[in-house]
Amino acid sequence: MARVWREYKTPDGKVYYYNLTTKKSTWTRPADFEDDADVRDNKKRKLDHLPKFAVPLENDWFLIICNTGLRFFYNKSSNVSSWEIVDENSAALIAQLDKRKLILLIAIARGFAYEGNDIYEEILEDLDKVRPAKDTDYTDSPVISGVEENNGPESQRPNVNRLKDTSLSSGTSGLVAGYDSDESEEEGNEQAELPGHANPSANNIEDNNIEGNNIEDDNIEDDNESEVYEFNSLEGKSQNSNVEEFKSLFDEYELDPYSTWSLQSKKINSDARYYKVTSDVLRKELFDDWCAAAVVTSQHDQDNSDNNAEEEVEDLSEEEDDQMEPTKYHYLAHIVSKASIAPNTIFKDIKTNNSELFKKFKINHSIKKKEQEHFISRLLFYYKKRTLEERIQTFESFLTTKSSILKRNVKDTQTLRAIVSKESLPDSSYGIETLLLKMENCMDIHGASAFLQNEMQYYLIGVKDKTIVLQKFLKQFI
Amino acid sequence: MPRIKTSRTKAAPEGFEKIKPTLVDFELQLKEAQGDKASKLAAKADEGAWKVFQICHERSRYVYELFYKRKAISKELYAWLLREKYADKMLIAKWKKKGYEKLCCLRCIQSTETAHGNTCICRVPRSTLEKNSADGVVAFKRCVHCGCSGCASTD
Repeated sequence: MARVWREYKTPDGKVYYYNLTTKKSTWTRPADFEDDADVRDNKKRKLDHLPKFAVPLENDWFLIICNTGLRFFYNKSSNVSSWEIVDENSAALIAQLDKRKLILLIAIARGFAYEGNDIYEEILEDLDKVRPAKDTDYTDSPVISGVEENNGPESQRPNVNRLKDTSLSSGTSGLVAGYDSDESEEEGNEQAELPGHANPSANNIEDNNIEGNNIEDDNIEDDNESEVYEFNSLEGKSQNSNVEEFKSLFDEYELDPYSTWSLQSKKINSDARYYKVTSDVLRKELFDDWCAAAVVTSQHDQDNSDNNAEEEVEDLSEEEDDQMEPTKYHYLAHIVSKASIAPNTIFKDIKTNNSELFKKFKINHSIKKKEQEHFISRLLFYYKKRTLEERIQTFESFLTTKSSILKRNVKDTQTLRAIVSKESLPDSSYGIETLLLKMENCMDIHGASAFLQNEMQYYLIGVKDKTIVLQKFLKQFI
Repeated sequence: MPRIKTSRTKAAPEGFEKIKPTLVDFELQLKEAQGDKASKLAAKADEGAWKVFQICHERSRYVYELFYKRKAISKELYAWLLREKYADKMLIAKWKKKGYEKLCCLRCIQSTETAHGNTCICRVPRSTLEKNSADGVVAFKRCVHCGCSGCASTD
């Protein structure tokens, strides 16, 4: 429960108390008034230890591992918990266990994402194996070295804490399902948020407040030390998992890969995982890597999307691989036929609006700028003043005037026959274009009929219409 | 500061929309910095400009990284951004040079502007400063030009 009672002072210095929920004030200190200190304690406890694993040992003893990595031993029957193992049988049992596995279990309890087998189950199995042989060898080394070292200072203190009415579900799974304590009533909401909350030293506070606090503080310090110790062997792995967790934030909060780290970090720095990576330089690096990857994928998606114009560009660039060479102004005419043309459109508009295409077809390499302007201006005249039908007509009449020369120059009649006899055009723009280029080849447009390339009238219509008209026109030569 | 948009300003190339929010944010930051009152103390007279220098540096760095590190923008857009002065292209030119990867501002390497013909103290690596100081305590906090606290490549 949040603090309902607040302490205030009247202007003349007298203290009174105000209830936030009932909005009543009183001069006397209410019974359920919580001091700042109490609240701080609660907060601290909230950070603390939630039991995560319970490993059954001998004589009703359990090894409890908390999510902070804290370990203690708890006796189910006598309700005694202890920092040190007091039971000899259990000590021997622990000594036989694989310490590495125990350390790994502690790491898992602390949130280490381990992807191997279920370590907890493995440990239980190991215990079962060891148990029958318990009488054979008793070793004197009592506890895992890690536990011993870390809890060393604790041994000077009264180290048996009473767990009041903790109900430890030690059943088949052995996992601690829920803890209850007297405090749950006192702590109200806070406790309700964390149903599985219990802490041996927290209970101790009730008996002896000051000492309890000391112990608790020491626990936390110990914990930090033990963290270093435990993770020495696992450092590499856990570092990676931290980084992964940190990286998952980027996707989760849908950060903008086109923005800066200083802006984007504000969105995620309230998340606890943000602090899994401690150095800001590293965070920025990770963010930059993520951005670069995100940009690449987004561009890839864009490519995949069925954009017709882009597809065409792809197609046109592909055919450079083929041996077929387009006519001199082929691409320029193609760009104009695809461009949106208004009555006031001039060469410059075409060029700026289609700068990508200009670049793609390397038009600046093949045709001089002046020539480009000259050609496009003349072509634009036709596009502005004539309708498509008129242009087709002009194109046809142009071909017929030249038909005698063209007829002489036709070569490779077999291919031409095959092309012309085709009834339907190919579906893809690439196919149509190839067809056109093949026909032009048959007309020997790069050889004897090269004059066609320089005639304005040859470029009046777009690729598709031109293919249809040419197909019709060339039929008469066969 | 970016150029003022006029009717003659060329339209931004494709991809500008994606980075626009960030650039707008930088602009807002600059506006906020504009509102800060300058100190009346002579010793702090330069400090008002520090914030502006810092934001401009950050923005240039942003454009630089977009193009060279993340490869998120096209060459056309990058050229357009430089032409419209969203980034300081002189500063970016320095960043490409060895030893100047983290340069804070151009004034700090302008040796003709200083009394002894040196570069700014922020260009001196931290380790050198520590080595040369009498008791290992470095008195230098931020440089007077742009408020940089050290921009040597090794820092």
